[in-house]
Amino acid sequence: MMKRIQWMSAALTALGVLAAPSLALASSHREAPSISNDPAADNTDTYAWVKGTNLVVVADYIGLELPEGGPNWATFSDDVLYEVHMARGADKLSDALTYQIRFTTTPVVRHDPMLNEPAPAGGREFFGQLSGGGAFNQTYSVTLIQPGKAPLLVVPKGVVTPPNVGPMTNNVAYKIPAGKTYEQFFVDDAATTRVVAMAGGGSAFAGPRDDPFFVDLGGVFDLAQIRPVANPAEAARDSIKYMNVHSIVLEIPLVTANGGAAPIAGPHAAQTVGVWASASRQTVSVLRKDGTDDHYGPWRQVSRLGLPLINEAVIGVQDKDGWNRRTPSDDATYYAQYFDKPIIVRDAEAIGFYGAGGPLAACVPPGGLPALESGRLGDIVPIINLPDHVGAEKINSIGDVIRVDLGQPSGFPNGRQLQEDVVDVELKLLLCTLNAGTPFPAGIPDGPTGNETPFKATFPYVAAPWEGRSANPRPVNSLP
Amino acid sequence: MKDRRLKRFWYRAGPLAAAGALVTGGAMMGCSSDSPTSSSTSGTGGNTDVTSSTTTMSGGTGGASTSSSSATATAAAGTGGAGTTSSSGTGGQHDLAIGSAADVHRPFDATPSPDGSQVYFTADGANGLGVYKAPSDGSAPTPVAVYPAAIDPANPFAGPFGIAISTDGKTIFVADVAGGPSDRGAIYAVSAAGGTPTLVSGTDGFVPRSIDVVVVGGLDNLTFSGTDAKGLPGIFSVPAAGGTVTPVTVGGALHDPSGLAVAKDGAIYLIDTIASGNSAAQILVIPQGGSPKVLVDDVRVGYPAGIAISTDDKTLYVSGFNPQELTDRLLVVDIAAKTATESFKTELGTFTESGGLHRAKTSDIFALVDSSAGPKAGKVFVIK
Repeated sequence: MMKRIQWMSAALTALGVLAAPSLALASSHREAPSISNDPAADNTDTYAWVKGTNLVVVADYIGLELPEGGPNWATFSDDVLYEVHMARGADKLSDALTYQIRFTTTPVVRHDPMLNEPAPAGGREFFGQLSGGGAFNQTYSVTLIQPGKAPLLVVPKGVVTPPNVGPMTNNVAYKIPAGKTYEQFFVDDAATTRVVAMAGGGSAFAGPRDDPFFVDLGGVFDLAQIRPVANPAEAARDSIKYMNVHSIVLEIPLVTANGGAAPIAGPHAAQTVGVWASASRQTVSVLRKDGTDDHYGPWRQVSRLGLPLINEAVIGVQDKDGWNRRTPSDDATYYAQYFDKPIIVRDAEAIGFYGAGGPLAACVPPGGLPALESGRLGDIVPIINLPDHVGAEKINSIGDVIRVDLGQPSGFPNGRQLQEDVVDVELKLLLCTLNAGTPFPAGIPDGPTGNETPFKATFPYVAAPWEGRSANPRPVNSLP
Repeated sequence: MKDRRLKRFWYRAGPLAAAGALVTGGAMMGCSSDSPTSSSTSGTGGNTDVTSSTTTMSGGTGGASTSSSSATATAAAGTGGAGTTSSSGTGGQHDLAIGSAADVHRPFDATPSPDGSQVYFTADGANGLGVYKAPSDGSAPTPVAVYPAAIDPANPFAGPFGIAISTDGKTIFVADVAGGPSDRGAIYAVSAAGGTPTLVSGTDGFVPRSIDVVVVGGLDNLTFSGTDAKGLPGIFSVPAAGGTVTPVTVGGALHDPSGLAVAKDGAIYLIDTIASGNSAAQILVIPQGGSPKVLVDDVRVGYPAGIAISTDDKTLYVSGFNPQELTDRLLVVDIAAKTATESFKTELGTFTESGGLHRAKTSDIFALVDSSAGPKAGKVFVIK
């Protein structure tokens, strides 16, 4: 262990210590070629922050999910192993805690069309919400794994909230009492809520939610023409406004996250955790003629997310699929060059952002662009590793995890809360550095600065999913 | 064609030879195990802090073991007395080295002939999907029963994950997870000299994954991992000539049984790829007449997961991988100590998809595949 860390430190030192900026973008929705074909396993965002006596972790999957996406609404996959990982302390990136979440979907009940039943007008063959199966009848379990201890089933059977289809479905299929909303029935009201307690403390939730992320995807991927950065005449846009995502939300007691003792108030590397989430599939799938699939072999990770935008904006397209198969403890070994020489800086340069009159002209350091183009470990890694939060107690390991000091209030990059404009922060870090003296150009907003709807004040914190029936046509998609 | 393949082999053999691992003429080498295995309990295996790994090849001769036998069972996951991958020590007696290797396209599983002179393997190979063979000196492979086009109506194969050979060396058995009249897999038999595969009657629909051949009453029987008609995973037995499939054990502790090897006392050693409490693999043992017990918990394996037992029934060899590097290793399992130790980092550590593994009937000669993705990227290794 120590040998490895020392080696990595030496390697990073050798790569140079300097300062300068790079370019960035959308979180991790469909960010790599392979996972873009596998939405149910696509980890789009991960959030982690201290709230009272708990650590809240939100792991989102299935990006760009249309609320009206029936008749087969998006669901978690029974064939995917979803995980929330947590390392702890200054040196380690291995899991101190792992939460494994598995889903089970009730098959749709078969009805023989010859028998014309159920009669009359049962409607169960066509309307999924009346079928008793699929997206409308899904449960999950949560297992806590800690080194040296037996795996612990902390949620034997939770129930996934169903798609928010529309008022008729609320009435007929969900039998929500008149005067109650979908959100009240499935989340807020204690008698009917699907929030479940975890054994040993804390709570869990799984189901569709409003996607809390906000970004101008359309502008970003039109060669970084983020509105209004590229054109001040255009208003900022949130491309994923009125779109849903599937969230796994865990409220983990700080005592559990900290390994058994309550965290001490104040900065401490030993009680700083590194959070990331992932999705894995079994190695082999066999497609049967009868419409069923079988899966064999060991689990293989196909998606992961710690800090926002890393695979999206830092890792080159040639390595994005490989990145999803590896783990944070691999990052310094395999991907250090991407952090040292952010490709997004060169791409921003290529489209003229740093040129005279360009939107990032003010970011060009006195020595010229080369200082932004390489030698960036010295300013990027320290920000990720929280020197301002844990003080003299340095964090030595380097990998793509969200660091959260359990003894302090959270605020990106010490944790990531739902409302934080991480695109803004990371764009500034990569493209211009966050060093004093090279401020991000004043007066140039970098796109949307907030979510389209307020977050909940209570668990699970993420906002209610948009309703399918009323979500389209979408309102004008610009921010006030 | 053949010349090109030979060149490729010798080119590939270069690095192995340079690493001191290539053994010709059947000589044996002492080979110390290398890095400690991590016994992290992280989920899929992924995120572990593994220490360095310096491989030392000790050039012992003639079977001198380099074992220090200081393996300790760290028992990370508390599942009833199961051992775990060791974090120190070399785990015991093994005096093997990579004897040769041949380039092949996407191999699944391999078995030496009873005397170890030939290696038979299933692959989605250069000539199509099916069974190939190669001399165990690393020469180029040739087709035995291969179908170039997947749409060929005569092609019985779809997912030939497992292979085994009869005691007399004359018949190859192929476990196919996706073929068969039922579309739910079957075992096929084909002459080692080539010909048309025929269904081993009774096996259709059992989703067979891996086979070992056991002699019962003077006749070959096939012990195989698969799935029963109710969809439950299990271990089954069927006469090699075909007949009634008898369940050995079904359901219970089994989740996804893959490779298996049967010891002389009838005990079945098998790998379940996801049975561990943290969703990693387990090595299980089913004593004759008994039910499955965990031998080593929390190991990382390739797929199809290969396992073979030494002729003295003391050591298991498992096609594994290092979770940190995500590269192949041979796991050496001391059955008595219930420990697994990573080995062959130098020889296997540049490959990423370890697969099936079998032992020759009469000697400690093994065949192991790596099915790294991409054309011509696979390997069949002979380990002596």
